[in-house]
Amino acid sequence: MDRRAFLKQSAMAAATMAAARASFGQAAAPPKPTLPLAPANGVKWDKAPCRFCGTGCHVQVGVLAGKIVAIQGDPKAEVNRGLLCVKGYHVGLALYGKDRLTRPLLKKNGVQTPISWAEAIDVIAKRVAADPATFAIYGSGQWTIPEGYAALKLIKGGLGHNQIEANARLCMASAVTGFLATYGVDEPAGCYDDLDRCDVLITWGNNPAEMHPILFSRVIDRRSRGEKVTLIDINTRRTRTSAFADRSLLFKPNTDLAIANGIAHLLVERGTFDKDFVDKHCAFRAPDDKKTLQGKAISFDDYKRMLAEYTPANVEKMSGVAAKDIVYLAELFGRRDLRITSLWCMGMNQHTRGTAINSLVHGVHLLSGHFGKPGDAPTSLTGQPSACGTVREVGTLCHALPGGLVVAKAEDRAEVEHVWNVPPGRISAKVGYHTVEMFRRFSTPSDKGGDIKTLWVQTTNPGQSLPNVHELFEPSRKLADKFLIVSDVYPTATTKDADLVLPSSLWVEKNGVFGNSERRTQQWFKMVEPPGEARPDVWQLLAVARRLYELGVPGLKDKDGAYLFDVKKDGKSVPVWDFAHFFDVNVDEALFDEYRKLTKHHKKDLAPYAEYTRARGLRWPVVEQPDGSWKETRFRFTEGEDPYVAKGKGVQFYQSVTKDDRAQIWFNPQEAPPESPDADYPFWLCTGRVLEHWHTGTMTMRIPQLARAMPHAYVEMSREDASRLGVQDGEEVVLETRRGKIELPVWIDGRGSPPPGSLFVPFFDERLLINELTLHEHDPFSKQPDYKKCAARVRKKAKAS
Amino acid sequence: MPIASVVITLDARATLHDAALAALRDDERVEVGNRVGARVPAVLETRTADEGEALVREIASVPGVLLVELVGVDRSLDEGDA
Ligand code: SF4
Repeated sequence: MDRRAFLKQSAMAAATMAAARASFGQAAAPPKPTLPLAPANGVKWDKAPCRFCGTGCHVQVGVLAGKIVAIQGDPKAEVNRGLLCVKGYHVGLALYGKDRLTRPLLKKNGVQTPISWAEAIDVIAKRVAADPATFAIYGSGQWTIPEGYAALKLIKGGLGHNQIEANARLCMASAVTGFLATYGVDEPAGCYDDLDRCDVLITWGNNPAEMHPILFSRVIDRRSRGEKVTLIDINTRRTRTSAFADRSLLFKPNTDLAIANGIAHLLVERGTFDKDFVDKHCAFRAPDDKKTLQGKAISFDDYKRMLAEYTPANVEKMSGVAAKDIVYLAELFGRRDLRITSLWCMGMNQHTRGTAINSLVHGVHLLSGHFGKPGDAPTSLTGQPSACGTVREVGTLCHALPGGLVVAKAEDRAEVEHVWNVPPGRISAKVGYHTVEMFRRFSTPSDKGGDIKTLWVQTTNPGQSLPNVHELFEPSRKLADKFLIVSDVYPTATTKDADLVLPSSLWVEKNGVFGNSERRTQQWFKMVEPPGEARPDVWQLLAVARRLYELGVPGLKDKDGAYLFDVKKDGKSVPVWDFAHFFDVNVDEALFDEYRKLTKHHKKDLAPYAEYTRARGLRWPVVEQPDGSWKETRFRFTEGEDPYVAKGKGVQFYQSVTKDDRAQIWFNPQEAPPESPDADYPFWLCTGRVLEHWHTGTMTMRIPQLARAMPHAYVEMSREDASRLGVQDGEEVVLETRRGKIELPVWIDGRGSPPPGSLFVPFFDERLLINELTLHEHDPFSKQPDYKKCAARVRKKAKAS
Repeated sequence: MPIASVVITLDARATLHDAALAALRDDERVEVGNRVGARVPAVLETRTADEGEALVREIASVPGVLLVELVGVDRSLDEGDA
């Protein structure tokens, strides 16, 4: 058989197995996967989670002669069972854009000039040593867990302050505060298995058909096999998800709180809520005068009274959703014979009332008892591959410590100081600046309160992804005493004017560990060499930390005088800061196994690193069994599934804020947004993502097939608005808000269809920076900005004379 | 010569899915495997990656096709394209 025939035969075997396995939830025992990936053609295969979204599909990466030549959905992975979306399919190509950064570049006389790594590390360390308090790190949900952990330890354990943030603040912080306010602990109780069991799937401001296509296909596949799964899309514009929905409910931007309250009102009014579940497991809460995340306890009668104004007729007036549809939703939630899963992502999170709406949707599930059984779950999704694993679990935020611990609590600081072997008091109790504030201060002159002077950005692109970049990012590039360091793989809107650019290894060019949206921790090994002098971000952090140690910065020593990141092999310290020795030992394993000691406190237990090298990820809490094996948890707080639920409890919210094993059902009122359309700016503007591109497009715009499929940004507009403005499909218009303007083509009845009065623009296109127009107003608890609604206007472009 | 493996999900309605299968079998770049329920495994062989991309879109627009999901792509016959 020739190689071509062999490859085709292997491809058919892989597709056939994927088709069989993809019958999610259908068979008690799906066909046992056997890898069809024969090594006979010389290709070496290994597993890795996909580099792109928070779904966390596993791929098999085929390497030949030091280069990725093949990608296959991993047949052993429960998340995707051999399937991939169009981005995952091309993920290998993300490494091979022609303009990879390959050398450190230092701005000298205004020009980014190649320098050595030794000089780059020295420049950073000397700047930090001279003024540690004004140094901050800004990372991302694309940091691997060891990278995030090292950055956090350097800032909080080494420098003794809390100026560290991550871009996940911009995408899921309101989900975190929603979970904390409701359950007292972050992250979903359910998992993707819910999608195989639900009778009703409600997508709240969410478009999984494009953003989490592999998850969405689990549901569509069930319907294609004749199973009845009712899909309800609650959105502000019609999307690809709406096309599959049984009901698509369009609401006026910002009024989702009214809808959730309307459902709760009817459940209470009609007595169709789950009284038994509520009596046993829930308490009621509402905002307090001091506006704390915990709010104040209220009685059921208070709750009922607060909901009273959310009658179907009033909700219709507020939201635009027909009263009969509110009744329909309430009737579904009122049924005990159905299993209901809610999904949401940026629509609910990027919201100045993000915490409030997150809490309300949890509340509707708790009130109706649609919780704790497979298929009955309120589940938030994440956009980045390790927003959960790194940012939420490691805690790379200005208030957080690993494993759900926080800097504000003395006992939490003491626990982390103990594990790090640093003196008591090393970790500061003073919360650092959240993302918007950090960048505001970086963009403010130092003598006017701009007390962040040196900022190190890793694995993210705030020059494109921050809201209102004119105000939050661009001014810093004109201030002489501000120094921006950026570690990245390609030139971006952020590296463009950076003072120091560091070339990073990407994905399988280094070891890594991610944590996906369903609490699944996933590990991979380095498979190919990075180009030029690109190096792993974790090495960059450890090398700077070592240089700080050599410069005598006291925090870089532990209590015994040892280097804070001392890594041992066979009992001897390995000089991992010296790149020649970095791979003498598995640094990821050392950092991960130290970090996991801190994950038990809030019962987010992780297994030892070695367990993840064998698995396609494990969902925490992962608890050791009497036989020495490690067992993951699919459904938290549920007896028989979650090892921390006491026998006989059924459901137990063991991290409850009220310390009585109860979850909180919140009332939060509908409130006006900070900016609404008016006579000058008559449109709502919403921003978001598209299937082909991943976030700011740094990687996917370099994959020719994806760039050609979706080459540039556009503004979606309704046919009615276009005709009123006299604008044709494809015609360039000027889109303007109070913060800026851009020119871009109109797309009518395109990928999505906004209703009259609304516009949508994707943010992947660096040449059409929509974030010059967005608002930086944010949720008061999560500090997450609202990218989904601001006031805008559109006009035809004047014809060139 | 990229070789791609895909899984095509067909509409449960018999007339639609028979017509979709017939359309797929008519395209010589598509090798259709044995159906597993509503899912059909297939291998696409195209001259270029771009053509492969276009073919996936074409298949997705065939009446009776609900979804096209990708399983793998092998470019090792065409290493310059990787
Ligand atoms: S759904 Fe997300 S994780 Fe899965 S293949 Fe696509 S981009 Fe990758």
